[in-house]
Amino acid sequence: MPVTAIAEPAHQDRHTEGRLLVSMTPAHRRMRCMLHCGLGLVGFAIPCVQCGPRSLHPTEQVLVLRTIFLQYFMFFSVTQSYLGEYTVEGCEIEATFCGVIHLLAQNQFRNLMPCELRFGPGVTVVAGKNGQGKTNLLEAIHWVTQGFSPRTRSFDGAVKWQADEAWIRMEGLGKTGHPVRQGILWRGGAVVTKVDATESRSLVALHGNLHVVMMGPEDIALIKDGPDQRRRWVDLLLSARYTDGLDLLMRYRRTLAQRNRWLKDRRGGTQVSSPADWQAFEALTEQLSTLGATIMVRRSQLLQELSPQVSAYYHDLSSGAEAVELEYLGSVKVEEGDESFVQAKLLRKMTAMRTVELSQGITAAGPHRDDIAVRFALHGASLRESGSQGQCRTAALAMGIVALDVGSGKEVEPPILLLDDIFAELDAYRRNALADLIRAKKCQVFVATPRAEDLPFSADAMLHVEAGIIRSV
Amino acid sequence: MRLPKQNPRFGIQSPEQKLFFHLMPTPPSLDNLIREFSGLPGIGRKSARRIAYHVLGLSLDSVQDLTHAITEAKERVHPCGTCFQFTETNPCPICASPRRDRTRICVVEKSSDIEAFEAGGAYQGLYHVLGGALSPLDGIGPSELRIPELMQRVSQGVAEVILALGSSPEADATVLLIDRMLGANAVRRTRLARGIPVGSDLEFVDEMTMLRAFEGRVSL
Repeated sequence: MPVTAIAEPAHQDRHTEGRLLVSMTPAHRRMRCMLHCGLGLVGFAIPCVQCGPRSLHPTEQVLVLRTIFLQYFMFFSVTQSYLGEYTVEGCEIEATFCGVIHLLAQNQFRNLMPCELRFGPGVTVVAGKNGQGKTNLLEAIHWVTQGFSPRTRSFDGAVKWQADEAWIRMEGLGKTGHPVRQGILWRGGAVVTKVDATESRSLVALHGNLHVVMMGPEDIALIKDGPDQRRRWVDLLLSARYTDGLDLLMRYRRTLAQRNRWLKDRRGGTQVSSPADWQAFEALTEQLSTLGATIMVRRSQLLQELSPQVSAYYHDLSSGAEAVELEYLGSVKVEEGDESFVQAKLLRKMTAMRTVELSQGITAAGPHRDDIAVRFALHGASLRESGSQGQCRTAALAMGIVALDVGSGKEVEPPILLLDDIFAELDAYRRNALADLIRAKKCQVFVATPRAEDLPFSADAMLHVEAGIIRSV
Repeated sequence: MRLPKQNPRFGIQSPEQKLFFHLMPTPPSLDNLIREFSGLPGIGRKSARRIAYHVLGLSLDSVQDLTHAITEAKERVHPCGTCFQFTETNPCPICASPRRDRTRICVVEKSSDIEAFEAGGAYQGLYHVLGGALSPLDGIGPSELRIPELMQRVSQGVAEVILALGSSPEADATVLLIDRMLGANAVRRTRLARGIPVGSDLEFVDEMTMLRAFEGRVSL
């Protein structure tokens, strides 16, 4: 059945002169040829399209067969030559360049009954009463695409009681439009993962093909819990924003572990250190303060930049009632930009705290002890102490959405969103505002909710969960 | 693009496989050999198994040659008294060579690193093997490294110390430590450049390498 693919550029900056084919790398030349003469390459042999001897304009309508639409889609995404959207009329495929999960099947996962589910690219609502298994379904998706779960540490805890074998598998399109097939098999305490045809014992192997983000009621910990939650949030953004961000954080963590070990071994002065040993300690201190100062300056800059964005989202979500701001609370005061100055200050502080460090056997100052203040812009009161449940939740959501933006900014596709009852505790205005924000992200969304009728989304597909049995409605 | 064939029985062990494991217990001595091999660096359980079966297929003479080669290397090779690289003579050929530039010392973590430098042939100075990098987590402090020996060599009229350590945090700490211990010594301290490999296309350089290359750019 011939259908029409309408290509509309969403990211105009990706094109030169509004044309679809811009680059002159061999891959693009091949595609041009394929579009023009229709002879194409092996594996991409497609019938001629109405393009003629010219480049394809993004707004032109191209007749393609449904079976070959996917090939077009994959080719464009693999070569990254076109980052717009495709709409295939008549079969209601709205394919963007975010990953898509087409199929999920599982057996003996938590309370769920064995099932094989097919999903469309839009909004899938998972409805059901409390304790029926809505979150479990989202968690299964998270496990099989990311290799971990926000709820439990090991897969053992996610297997049905007294089951001796459990598995989850999924099929979909990954970041670059490649087909992705992944699975987890658990048998008697051992986990085997499978990505395409490659088997492995490591859950980490599952990570990286699809970008999936889960937002749920526990996100409020970002505001309510200790500073480690907020540090994790800012570090996530740091590693997304800076090329060497993750490397920097890993180096800091490793050096911190080395220095802490040194301190622990000589705790309470049990071991008289040689001069060379002291020099080793000072070398570690210098290294740690250099890495630490870089992290602190970058975190501080990042927060200065993102604070208005968080505030803007908060504003949108809360009908403009109040504004919030974020500020970095460092071990030492971080002035703008000057890393060597911050490093000198951090080094002084670490030297001043040496006695404490030696008696406690732990590094007492540095970015691993810092916090982020989230407070009302108007009167400077901390949300953690004086914000209501709804306000804290709104702020956590605003921070979460900013994290999505920063993550997507680095030429990563928008993520697949798993929203676990995040509309609870929000009033009608905030619910609608949040729904609008998520709609604007144009990605595949799974929403779990106990009250589907209150949902501000128009669902593209609806699943009903009852006692672990999932039915599509 | 051809999609991989769907396997409906994903992850489920076939009855044949189960049967196979029951019927084929590995003989204890073979199992022991496999365990020994899998203890070697870079060799996993499967490679170890393959090597072990290969060894079983060899003639007794070949096996004895192999064991002889191992014991002979172990008996005859020892660290050089000056630079601590593995050698059969003392001092090693590099330290003994009259053509070598004795005013430069290239500091490396382990003996095998030297081979890479020597293969290039660009460096004509001497070496010093530290025997690791500073890592309290692994119990390696300054006394476990051959730093005092290096200090002694530097004090005997060396013009340049080239710190050719890796890029791990531990290597960085070791560089800082050596720099500190050299203290007021006027010796020139350098480290190797990091960046884009020669002859590689800029298109294919990963982003971290590119970043380092930019940080380490030199003026014309």
